[in-house]
Amino acid sequence: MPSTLQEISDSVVKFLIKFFRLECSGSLLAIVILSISIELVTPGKPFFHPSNIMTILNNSAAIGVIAGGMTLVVLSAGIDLSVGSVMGMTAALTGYLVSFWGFSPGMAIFSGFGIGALVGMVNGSLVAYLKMPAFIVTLAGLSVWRGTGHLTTGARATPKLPETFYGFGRHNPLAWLRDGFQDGSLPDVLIPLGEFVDENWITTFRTFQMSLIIFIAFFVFLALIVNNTRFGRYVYAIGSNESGASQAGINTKAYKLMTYLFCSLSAALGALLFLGRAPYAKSDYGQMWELDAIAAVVIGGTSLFGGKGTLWGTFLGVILLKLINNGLTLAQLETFWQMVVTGIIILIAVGIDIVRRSRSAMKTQKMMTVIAMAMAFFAFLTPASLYTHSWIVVHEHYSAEEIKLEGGKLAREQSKRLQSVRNLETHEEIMFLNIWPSIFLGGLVVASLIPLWLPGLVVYTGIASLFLFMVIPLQILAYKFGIPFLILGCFLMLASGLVPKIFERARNISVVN
Amino acid sequence: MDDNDQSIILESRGLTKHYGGVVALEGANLILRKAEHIAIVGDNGAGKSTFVRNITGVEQPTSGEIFFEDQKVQFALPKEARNMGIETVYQNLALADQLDVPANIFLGREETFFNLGPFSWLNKQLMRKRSEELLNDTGIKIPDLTQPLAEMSGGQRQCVAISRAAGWGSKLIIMDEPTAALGVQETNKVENIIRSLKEKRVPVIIISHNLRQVFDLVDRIVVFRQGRIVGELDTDKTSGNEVISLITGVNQGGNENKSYI
Repeated sequence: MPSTLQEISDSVVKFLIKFFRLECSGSLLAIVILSISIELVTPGKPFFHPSNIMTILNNSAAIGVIAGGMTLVVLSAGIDLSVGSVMGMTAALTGYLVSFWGFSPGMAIFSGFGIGALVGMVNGSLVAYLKMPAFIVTLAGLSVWRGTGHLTTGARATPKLPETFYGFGRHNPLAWLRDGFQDGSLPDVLIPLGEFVDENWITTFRTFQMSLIIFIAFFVFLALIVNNTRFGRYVYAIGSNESGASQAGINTKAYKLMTYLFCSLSAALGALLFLGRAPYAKSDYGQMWELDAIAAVVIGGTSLFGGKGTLWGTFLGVILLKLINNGLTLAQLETFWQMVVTGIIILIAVGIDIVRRSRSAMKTQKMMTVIAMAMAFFAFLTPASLYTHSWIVVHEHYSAEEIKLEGGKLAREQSKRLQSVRNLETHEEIMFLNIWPSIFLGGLVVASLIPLWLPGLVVYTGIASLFLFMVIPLQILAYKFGIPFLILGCFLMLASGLVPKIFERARNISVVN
Repeated sequence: MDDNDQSIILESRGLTKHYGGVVALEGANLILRKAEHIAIVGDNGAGKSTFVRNITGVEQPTSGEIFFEDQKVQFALPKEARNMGIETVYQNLALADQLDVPANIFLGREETFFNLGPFSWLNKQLMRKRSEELLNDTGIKIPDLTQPLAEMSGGQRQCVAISRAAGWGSKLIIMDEPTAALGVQETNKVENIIRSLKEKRVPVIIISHNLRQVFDLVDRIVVFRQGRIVGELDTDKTSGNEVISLITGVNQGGNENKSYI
């Protein structure tokens, strides 16, 4: 009896080893768990419906292809901080050429890619042949290309772009099937298909757009190249050991140039995809996108030190970032929190990379504890930010009142801070509602640090059950959105506690083998 | 048969290398015969690595001649030396740790289905099969060929580097401190592989600080000191003390009864 239990646990451990060897496994797991949680927590708003998934893909298309290009550069142990500016510049210039220089959309798009290629050549030459640090070159590029974009287009929005651009974004290739079916203009052989599309329009086909088609096709194409061609293999080799690759006779300079070229071209493609859904072109598009691209790359499991990672990992990273952003919006947090959260996630992802390289059980355990703490923090955000926001409003009101009482004159901004009695009451009620949940969840954040000093399966199980316990107040307050994070945190705590046993078992298995 | 064994595969005449004003190598005359294993020994800075770099095309000598298989050669690039069948296993191994074994063995020389330059399609199946055969040939056991090298022990990685050299280096293999970072068991494994290379009649040059290893493995010991070759000793006709005397330049007579190995 015990032996079969042993065998089962062994095969589980073996599966875990194989699964976690894959760099993108972390984000894959996170996506699955988050999605399931979102689905459970938002009844009536179907999450797993194809139309919702397609919407997510459409929204991620522009940043996605940019992250894909960035993956190549990061794999070769480089970095490209200028992608956001290149995206903005090419978007603006393309729109400008169409609107004010009388270019046809095709010519303008071609020119946009030409500009992207030029930027890529500049980046690549400076980094690969003149051996300047990639960080500095592309940081300078970030500034130069954004400025160039503003200069050449006067930083004004173009008029509405011609319909052709929608062909790269918003256009729904199945729309004609539906329209044809409805007005009876479809050829006979296509009627059943048209009927099928029409029946499932709202649930499935409404959001099927060119954006996601191009997005997925791009990744399929890029993944095939990176995994199966000499170029892909040399990119990995250069990222892993550049001098070793050079000693093996590989022309490292040329290949590095190619990665930068490809990255900037991807930025141009991202611009095109964005224009496919945007009403006009403007030179301030894509600001801060380099951060999101790098975040997606790192979250997807690609190591910033080079040589390790996959394109599909980046794809998952992009989706995960979008999911988290959607989640934070549903949790009634201001969009600025997305910046804070994205930054924290980048830190966590890099931490995971470092821990993974060290292959140490203790470090893995501590890292997972920290991630669980981050989950508690994300759940803590909703009540805490609501409380803090109201507290600030009330506090500013009383400060303004005091100034008035002391006879001072109020500036316009200060007098805006004065609240009506009803507003004050509302805010104070918000504070009252949220103070205890904030304290409890804040306590949970602190408590999740305890296992760092007292690691032990009992402690871990205890804290994990605390996570589950905290679901209750969130459910009562209808802050359902924090609940998935708490569930994820609970999983992580439990897994964390089991880490030393799993590592030991894994070591025994490989020694026996 | 005997004639083949005595024929010279590598000869350097008066090989000299100056770096600006520094004389790193002066008048090195060395002969290597087929099926012979020699060791190059010497203190740090004696010119061993310089010599190796100059005969493998990493650097070009200031003066002197190199003959490989009785032909005068001048290597402008390491690739040219490799094309003639000379392979080097560097001290830093020159392996890509994040790639797996077949990728490393074929690094720079991949098997492809059709040639489109950088976009040639890799024939991974063939490379895996050939790697398996190569590893079997050299007697190295690696359970999982898809594992990245970073997950393997130092000894296994060294073995992969040597297999790579043995697989491509049909004519001459040079090893720079092959077991410097390895433990006793792994050193043993690597030395067995080197012995198997001798059985296959592949000439090998080993640079080593480990005199015990040198005496165990090679036929002849070439001693460098201060950029010059100061002695060539047949292993079975010399002693550790004699070798050390030549390395340091100090007569070790007083230490006759002590062992340095």
